[in-house]
Amino acid sequence: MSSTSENSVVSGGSPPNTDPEVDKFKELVFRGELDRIEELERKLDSQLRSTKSVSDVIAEAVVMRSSKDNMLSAALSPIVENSLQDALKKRPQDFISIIFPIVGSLIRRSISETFSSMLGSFSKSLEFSFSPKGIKWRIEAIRAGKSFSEIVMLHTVVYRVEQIYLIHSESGLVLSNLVNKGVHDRDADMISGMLTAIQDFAKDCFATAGDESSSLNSLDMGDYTIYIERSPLAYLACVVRGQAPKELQVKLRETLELILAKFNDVLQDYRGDDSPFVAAAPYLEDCFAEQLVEEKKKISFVTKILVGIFIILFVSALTYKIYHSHRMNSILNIIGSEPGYILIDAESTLIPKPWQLVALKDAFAVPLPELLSRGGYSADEVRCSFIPIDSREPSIVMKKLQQKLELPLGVTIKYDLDNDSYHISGLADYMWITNAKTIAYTIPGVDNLDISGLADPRFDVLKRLKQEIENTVIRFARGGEIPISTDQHLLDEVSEKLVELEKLTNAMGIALTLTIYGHADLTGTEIRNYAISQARAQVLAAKLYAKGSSIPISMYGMGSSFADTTELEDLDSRKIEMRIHFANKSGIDF
Amino acid sequence: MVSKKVCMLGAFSVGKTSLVEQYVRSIFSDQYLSTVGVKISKKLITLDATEVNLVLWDMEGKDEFVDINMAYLRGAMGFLVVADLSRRETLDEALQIRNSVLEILGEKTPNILLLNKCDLETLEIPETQIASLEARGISVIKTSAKLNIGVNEAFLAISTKMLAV
Ligand SMILES: Nc1nc2c(ncn2[C@@H]2O[C@H](COP(=O)(O)OP(=O)(O)OP(=O)(O)O)[C@@H](O)[C@H]2O)c(=O)[nH]1
Ligand SMILES: [Mg+2]
Repeated sequence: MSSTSENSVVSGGSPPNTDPEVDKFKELVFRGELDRIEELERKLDSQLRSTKSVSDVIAEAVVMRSSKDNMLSAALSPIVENSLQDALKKRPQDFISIIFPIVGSLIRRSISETFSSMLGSFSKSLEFSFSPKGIKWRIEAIRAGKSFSEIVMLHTVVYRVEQIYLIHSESGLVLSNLVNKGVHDRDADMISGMLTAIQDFAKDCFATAGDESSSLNSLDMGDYTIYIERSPLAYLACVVRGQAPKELQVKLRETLELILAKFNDVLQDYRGDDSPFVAAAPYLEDCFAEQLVEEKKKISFVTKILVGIFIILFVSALTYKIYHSHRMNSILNIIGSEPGYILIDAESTLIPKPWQLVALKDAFAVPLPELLSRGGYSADEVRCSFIPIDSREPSIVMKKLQQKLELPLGVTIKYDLDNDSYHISGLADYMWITNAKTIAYTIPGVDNLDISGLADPRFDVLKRLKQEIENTVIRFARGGEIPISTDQHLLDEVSEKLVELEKLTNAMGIALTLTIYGHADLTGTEIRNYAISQARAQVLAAKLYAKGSSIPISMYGMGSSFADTTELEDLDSRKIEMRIHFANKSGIDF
Repeated sequence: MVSKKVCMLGAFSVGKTSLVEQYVRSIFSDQYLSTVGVKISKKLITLDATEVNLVLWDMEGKDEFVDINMAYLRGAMGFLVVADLSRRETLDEALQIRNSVLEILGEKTPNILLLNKCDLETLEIPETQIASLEARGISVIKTSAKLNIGVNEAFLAISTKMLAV
């Protein structure tokens, strides 16, 4: 019991006393108390002992109890919670530094998921390209002067970090600045300056000095929100389109802390040189994130059908339009290449309907309906107004020649391209030939005409008869107006030929005149000779008249002026000679 | 590249905004639009082969109602304090501002006193006073935002001073 007495309050506190008298007195006076002290001592001792024994088994006991039921954890949890709360309140920094790594990795995972969903954004804009929504957005893009993908972005992005700045807190100068892809760069320095100014202003207006919690954490600017994560040396500002999730703020915090740790020294004595902060860009890049709108509903069946019908209509309209304009082109080709037509205007219309054409057209050109039907087209595919012209195209000129000249059978016209000349040849009426020439030259486009190939078959007879008649000499007996017997028949022959000639020239419209020269030989007086020669000419004339001819005849008695002077009496000087004279209607001789 | 924050200070309507506009955008307007708060502009220049990004904080002018917002001064690496040659009191104001700003930013902060509107005919600040200012070691440049006199020199001078620090 030595340990008991050592531990006893009383005995330990007073010097040892061995006097039995005193002991007795003590027993008399403190009897009750002594008992109680002894009792206490015993209790204490047993508690100590039991604590010791519990401590030996507590771990095993907890394990055993937990495996049996929940009572222990239920009993413990309020205590643990309270003490944790207490500790958090007192030393938050310790806890944050413990928890931070876990939270950080959680955020990283969520951001990497966001990034992978961003990869889908290209296919997303493709997906929207041909939907009604896509078409609407395309129109919107054209109106707003933005790219289509930007508009898709605007509609599909819940939020997107567009720009991020690392800013020197004191001066508001930009240390580093990153722009997300597809975002217009704003002037970093001006923005950061304004941001700093706004913050300074806000702090000035609303906050008591040193109260960090009241400074601005975000600024709303239309579609944009600027999130700010600050520290005394530098702050991060992050321009976000749409509503960013809470994680972004945490990410900003984490990034800022990383940067502060790495760049602390440079920041402490920053004098405007931002080259060291190039290395901060990768940290900033980590903050770029975005989230897309969930595609809510499937396109309904009816919309699909409608879109399908629309597409079919559109495609068939397009096909028809292409077919139609193809048709039109070949029609225009037909008209354009047809002689006598010159197309000067073709007006196409958006909705397929008859085209409006304006053309120069020769009256002799093939009529349009005929032309079109020849090409397999109907006349009402075009509506054409014509301006009359005289075409100089050979085929048209040819037609005119044919029609205007009333080409007789056997006469042909050829066009000689090299000399640009028209050649008319064949057998034709003499009158027609003379007319043809005049008429042909009145046709526009006929500049060179060759009619040397034209001939009237009767012309030869005409020439032959004239020749024969003129070659005939009828000799007369001496001193009279009777042909010598051998030449008697000549008188008949010549007058027959003359009658024939007269008929022919009448038919051909040629004027015919006959001149008869009468001759006498040197015998006899001159006066007599004149008379005789006159009378001899008269013989033929009388004969012709007798045959009913009405050829105008001129008769000349030449006397003996053409007689052979060597012989007085000469048979060959007593004769008549005939000369034929043709003239056409206009009086021109030939 | 080096960035430098420069503050434009001075009484109201002395031409702070005009000087910045003339320097940055080469324009001048006779119209007076009083600056509210602060307006930030910037200009990239090359000084001795160093690219300098001047970020100019054109602050609202001091008058009886508005005092200079000292928060805007934080981090300034130099400042220009402007007075109006045609209004004597703006020089007193400018000197007062200069002193208090130097107190905040440090005695060695590069600064220049600009005497603006030197194109005007009625000048209220005598040459002798200007000479005495220079004698006290204050850098003084006469400027006219209107005629673009001394504007480039002033900003170049402050830039050079800041780079020398
Ligand atoms: N003649 C002349 N007028 C000037 C000059 N500079 C500025 N002004 C005029 O002075 C007026 C004030 O110019 P601001 O540049 O707006 O003055 P400020 O100092 O910015 O004024 P606060 O912003 O109100 O402090 C304007 O009407 C300017 O046209 C100058 O060099 N010459
Ligand atoms: Mg101003």
